[in-house]
This record gives sequence, structure tokens and C-alpha cells, in this order.
Amino acid sequence: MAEEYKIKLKNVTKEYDLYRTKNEKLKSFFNLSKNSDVPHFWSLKGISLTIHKGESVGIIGVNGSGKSTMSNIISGIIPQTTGFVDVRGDTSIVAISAGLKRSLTGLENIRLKGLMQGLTFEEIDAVRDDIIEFADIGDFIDQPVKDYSSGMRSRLGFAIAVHINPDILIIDEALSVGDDTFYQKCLDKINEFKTEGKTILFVSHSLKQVEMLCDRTAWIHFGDLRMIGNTEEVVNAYRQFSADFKKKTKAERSNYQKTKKQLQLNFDIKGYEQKVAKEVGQAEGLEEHEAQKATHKLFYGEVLPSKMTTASKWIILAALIVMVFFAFVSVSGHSVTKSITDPTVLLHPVYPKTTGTGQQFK
Amino acid sequence: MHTMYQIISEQFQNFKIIRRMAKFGDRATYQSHYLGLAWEVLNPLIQIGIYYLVFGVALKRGDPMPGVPYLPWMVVGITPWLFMNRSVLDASKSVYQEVGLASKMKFPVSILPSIKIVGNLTSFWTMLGFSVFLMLVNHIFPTISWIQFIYYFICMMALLYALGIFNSTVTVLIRDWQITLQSILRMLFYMSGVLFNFATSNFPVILIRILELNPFYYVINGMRESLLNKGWVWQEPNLTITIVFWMFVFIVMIVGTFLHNKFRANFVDLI
Repeated sequence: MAEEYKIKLKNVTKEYDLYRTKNEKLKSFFNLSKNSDVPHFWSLKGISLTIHKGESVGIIGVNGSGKSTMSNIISGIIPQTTGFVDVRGDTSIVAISAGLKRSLTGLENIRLKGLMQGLTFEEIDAVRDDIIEFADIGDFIDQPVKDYSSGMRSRLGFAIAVHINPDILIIDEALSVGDDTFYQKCLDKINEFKTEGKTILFVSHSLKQVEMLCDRTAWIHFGDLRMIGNTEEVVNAYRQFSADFKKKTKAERSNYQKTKKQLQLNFDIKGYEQKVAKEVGQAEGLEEHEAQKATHKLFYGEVLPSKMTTASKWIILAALIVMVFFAFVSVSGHSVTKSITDPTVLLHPVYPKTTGTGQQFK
Repeated sequence: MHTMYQIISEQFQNFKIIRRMAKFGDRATYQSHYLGLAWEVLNPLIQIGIYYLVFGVALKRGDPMPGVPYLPWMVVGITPWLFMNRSVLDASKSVYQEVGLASKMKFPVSILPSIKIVGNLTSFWTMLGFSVFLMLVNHIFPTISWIQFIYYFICMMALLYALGIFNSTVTVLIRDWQITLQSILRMLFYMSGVLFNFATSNFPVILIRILELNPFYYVINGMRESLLNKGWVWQEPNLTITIVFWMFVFIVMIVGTFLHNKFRANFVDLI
């Protein structure tokens, strides 16, 4: 049974190493395995959600709750630490810092971004005029982007992102910079996307915009998926939470945030894995070790290892030995067979009978 | 190991993007110059002129290889050298320069070094055409030994990419690496036998053999031998050096791709 979905996340976590000094960064770089003294911060603590084709989903939550991390993972900019991510289709992300190259002109940026998304020169030329018209920056298109105002920059960024024809559009707080006319234009474009059956992920602080645009909404709360469901329901719950939160005293508020952050610092990935394994075991009636195995595969199956495997280390060592051995063979001038049977000869190089002046030519 | 395969296959999967972006980069670099792309050729020609005057005319020391005049010999060697020198330096900067752009979209960061390498190929082919012209003028004609050029070209690309992915990652982590690299390359320029053939010089034998292990020398000398019809890959000492060369490439590649993958997500935060 093939499940119809566009985006699927399963128990996704994301860990950041918090290097305090340059020194720690260097240490973790040279010490090819993981450094345990460095504090870790878990930006996502196991998020599972499924988004179907043609849905527009809002993502809300307080600052630093992991919304952008999640949208970046979905768009493939950063890899998840553990978990399963499957995105079917091309994604295009619009963010405030639009990722334009400041020294190039607007037109060149359109080309560059198009090329980076895998378009050909012809395809770019075909949508170029639409982009310029949509961004509405007039003659500035031939000026370097560094001379643009911040509104112009984000308009250009948005225009490029929507015109390279993605299946999945991820909008990360990008609509808050434009003026009303541009905002209306964006809404029209987004609605056009919706009618075309494309999937939209909308990250925003503006609950009004979310209510206007999204069918479903997910509320991310300090790395957890606190709620997902009908926009109305979730937005109301979030409003309630914000209102309650505002009523608290200052000390209570900072205390609450501190405990939540502390939870993100102390998150135990192994414990979480075991918990998930238990749930899987109960849900599917598997033996304990089978459930554990399945969970481990779910967690790490897709992730490229950040630790070098022992096998790789041995292969490198072997390659190093071979390299050094043949280097010695070459320098000593003995034959390979002789060097293998009696490695000591490597330390006593032979010299050709006539040295110098052009005699050793092959 | 798995990481290495993955990153190498990314290069082939995204080959079209690499080629297009290299083309775009070439155009963008020389856009504000009146002579435009002509600089890609003019620059190395001026350099060759200077080296010819200094090493070929002023310090005249006879033919570097028997029967081959100095000028074609030097140009055939300096063509891959100039290409490798520029590509190593450009590739090492690539991630640092472009990461702000690449971080806001789905883009395989691992192809950034390749884009720089492929971008420099234009001037490599032009220079190579010039070398062949000089060889023909000096009565050196194509033979079957030219086939080896393909092999050495693959060697060169493998070496450049391995160094590219390694250096570009290290440069992000340690900015000083870029400057160190410049000094190392300047030193290697004199130690890779670009301007004079140390194999026929009065250097001690041991020193010559040690210098021969240098991977840049392997590529330069290999291209020279194949184009000037002077030797084969499977002849000694080339064979042992071949093994040393590929082991070197392999180790740099596996460590480089591993580091790249490990720090890929943090590139933006690290700068």
C-alpha cells in the first residue's frame, strides 16, 4: 500500500553542538570522533508529521522553538540528526535573508539562483520577465543587490522562489517585510499555488496570516510538536497559551523558559529511542529486540554518520601503510618484490652507477 | 566510505548544474573587464614569456629532455600547473565564499569545489591548444603515447577534487589554511619540475626520488611524457609512484568527504 503524502517526518531530532570558544571548535575538528564536553542543544526533540499533497500547513510557535530548523530540514538545507525524512518533490524556500549575492545585479541573481536550482539558461530566460514584473523593482534590476532596500531584496527573493516552479513552497517569515500591495500579490500567488494543488508550508508569527492561508497548523513548542490539527483549533489554543503566558509574572516567565531550554540541553537521545522502541513494539506486537532494531534503523538508517566508522579508519590506515611503503620503495630504488621479501633494504637505498648529468633518462 | 561514494556520485548527478554554473562564473568574473575572457589566455601567456626569458634564455642550460627544446617542454608542463594551482586555490575558497548563498536553498554544497575546477578548464584547454601548436612548430608530432593523456587528465581531476573538498572544508574551519596553502603551492611550483627538469639536474639521487613522489609532479610529468612521447605509465619508476599517487588521492578524498559531511550543516554558523 503506497501512502499518498508529500512530506513525511518520523521522530526527527536535530542536535546542535554549542562550541563556546574557537578552541573547542578546533578540538572537535581534529578529534575526528565526537567531543563530549561540548554542550549539546536539541532544537528538535522527535517530531513526526505527515503532509499530504495540496495541503497548506502553517507552523507556529514562540521564538527559538525550532520552526526554522524544521523547515530547513524539510527543504534539505540541513540534515537531521536522527529520524526519517521523506520529501517527494522539489522544494523552494523563501526566507527573509533571501540568499542573494550582494555584488551581482538583480538580473544576475535571477540567473544564478535559477542555475543553482538546476534550470537551464533557456528555462531561466523564459521566466525572467515574470520574475521582474512580480518583484516590481523596475530599473533597479540592473543594479547590484547591495544597493537594494530590504523590501526590494525580499521581494526579489520571493519572486525568484515562486517562479522556479517548486512542488513544495516553504515560506519562512518572508511576508513580514513587504508592504500591503506586495503582500496582497503574494497571497494571490499562494492561492494560485493552492489551486494548482501544490503544497505550502507557512512559517509565521502572524496568526492572522496563518488563519487566512492554512488548512492545518502545527504548533512547535521548544522542540516538540505540541499540537497539530485544524487551523482554528490550534491557533485558538496557541492564543490561549500566549494570553496565559502574558499574565504570569516576569520571574515565572523566565523560569518557564529556562526549564524548557534546560530540557532541550539535557535531552537524552538514547532514552528517547528506547521509548519509541517500546511504543513500536506495543503497537505492532513485535519482540523487544526486533522493535529496538527497527527503531534504530528508523533513527539512523538515513543519516550519514558523523563519526567515522571503524572500517573506514582501518581502510585509511591500510592505505596510509601502502602509500608509505611504496614511497620508500620508490625512494630506495629497490624492486617491489625485493622490498617485500626483505623490508630492511628500504633503509639502504641503491644508487644508479652513473649519477647526475642526464643519464637516468628512460 | 559510504560518505565518499555519496559525495562523488553527487558530482556526477549534478554535472549539468556544475557546467552551467562554471559557465556563469566565467562570464561574471570578467564582465567588468574590457578584454573579457581574453584575460584567461593573456595572463598565462605573459607568465610564460617571463619564465622563458629567465629560465630558457638567460639561464640557458640545454635541452631538458633529450631532443626536446626548452619552450615546448616548459609550456606543456606549465599548462597543467597553472590550472592546478588556480583550481586548488579557488576550490579551497569556494565553500567559504558561496555558503551564504547556498545555505538558503536546497543545493548540494559539495559541488562548489567542482564548479571552480570546471570553470578553470576553459583556460586549460586554450593553453593546451597553444602547447600543441608549439610542439608542432618544433616537429613533435602526435603518437599513440598521447592516449595516456586521458589517464593523466583523470588523475588530475581526481587529485583536484580530493584536495578541493578537503581544503574547502578546512578553510571554513581555519581561515589561516588558505594562506598556508598559498605558500605551499608557491614552494611546490619550484619542486614540481615545472621550469627545470630536476631529474637531469645535479640534485642528489635521493632528493630527486623524494621530489618525484609529489602528486603534482606525477601529473605534470605524466602529461609531459605522454604528449612529448617520452615514456609510459607502467614503466618504472612510474608504477610505484602511481600507487603512491592514488593512495594519496584516496586518503585525502576519504578524509575530505568525511569532514565535509560532518560540518556541512554547520558551515553557515562557522563563518
